[in-house]
Amino acid sequence: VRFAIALSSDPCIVFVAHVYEGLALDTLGRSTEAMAAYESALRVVPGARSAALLLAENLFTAGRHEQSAALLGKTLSVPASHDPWLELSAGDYRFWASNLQQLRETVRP
Amino acid sequence: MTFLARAIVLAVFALSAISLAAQSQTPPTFRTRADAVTVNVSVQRGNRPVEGLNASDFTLLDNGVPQTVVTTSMGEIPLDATLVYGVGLWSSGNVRQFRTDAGRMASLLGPTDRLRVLEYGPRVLEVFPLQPIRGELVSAHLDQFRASATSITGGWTALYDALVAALILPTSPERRQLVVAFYDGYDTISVTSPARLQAVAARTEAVLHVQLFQRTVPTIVRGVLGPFPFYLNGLSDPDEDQIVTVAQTTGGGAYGAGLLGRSMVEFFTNVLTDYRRGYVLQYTPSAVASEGWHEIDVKVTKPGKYDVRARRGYFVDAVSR
Repeated sequence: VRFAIALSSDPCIVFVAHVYEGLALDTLGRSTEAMAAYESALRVVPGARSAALLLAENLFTAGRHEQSAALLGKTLSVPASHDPWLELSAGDYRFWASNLQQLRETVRP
Repeated sequence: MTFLARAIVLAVFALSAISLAAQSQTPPTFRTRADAVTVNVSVQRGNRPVEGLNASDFTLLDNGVPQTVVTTSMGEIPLDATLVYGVGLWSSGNVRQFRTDAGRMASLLGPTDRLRVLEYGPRVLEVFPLQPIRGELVSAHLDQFRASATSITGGWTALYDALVAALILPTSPERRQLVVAFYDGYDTISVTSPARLQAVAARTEAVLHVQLFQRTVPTIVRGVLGPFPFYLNGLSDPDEDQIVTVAQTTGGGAYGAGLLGRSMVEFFTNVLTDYRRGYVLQYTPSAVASEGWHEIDVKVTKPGKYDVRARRGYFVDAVSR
């Protein structure tokens, strides 16, 4: 995932790579580094609920309850934003709208 | 300082704290810290709540060590309730039913109680935040929310994420927290996991009750088909046992349809009635190590057979001391 983070210019891939990095670090019990990975994901896609929830959960289980609740409360208080975690299974379908637009512009007389 | 001297200092400190709390005009807080533990307890006998118990009727062991407790009746403390419902695999009929039932559930709350509603499909959405709300306004809130929601569903549900959020979201320390979730048996896209949910459950002050609806795919069919390939989180088969364990860890429970009420309203009514007739036990841990997992065992000392439900323990992290 660090290879993907370093080489990809696709925010969706970089975001998901950071999330997977965090999940792997979590599994290894390296919670502080995992939280840093989730924060990196949120810098790529601010407000993404998947990374915010994972960060909030880590803060909570680390005993930082107020910080955790504040982060989650703030995240849920605004309308749901773009979240690459949910687009992962759709593959290139996430490019459908822009590709369609490009096609229309190409064939337009 | 000898062990005895330390114990005396701790006891004096604990008695002073209890005395000060009794004298103070500020509302008591009900949040577990390393130096003050709060446990919600429900006591039933023959499926009926047992009322009128006091501190001397309970024994509480913290990691096997008896503790001195004070009690408060749960009904005296304002409640923050969170309802959690799903839109993924649910039939539209169930969602419509929730719209109707949520108002009736809200009308069961007291004037000082507050309600929050969370919806989960592929992601968790807050329909409305904690607020005192009249029953008839809840349906309007839900209608307004559904009209503006842009959530895709695609059959995906993030129940574990929704429960983690419900158990973490902010409340006030002077209130009790109750989370009631309605669950049809599948989680397909949560970014969290049952293990993470369990870790949160071990640390939360909230009590979680879950009504498990009948699964949409019979077990025998799932056994033949195996895991659905589109599941992202590896949780191909819903593990109701995990949900039951999580709920019981908080002092709540998970029940199949009909076990604690056939409808959502009946289920919520029974949960709320039992909850209000419960007790809050508070104590300052003594003679136990502060950090780490503390297993709690609560019993009623009065003669007779009682069903006592309380959270299974609590976790003290180094940072929370």
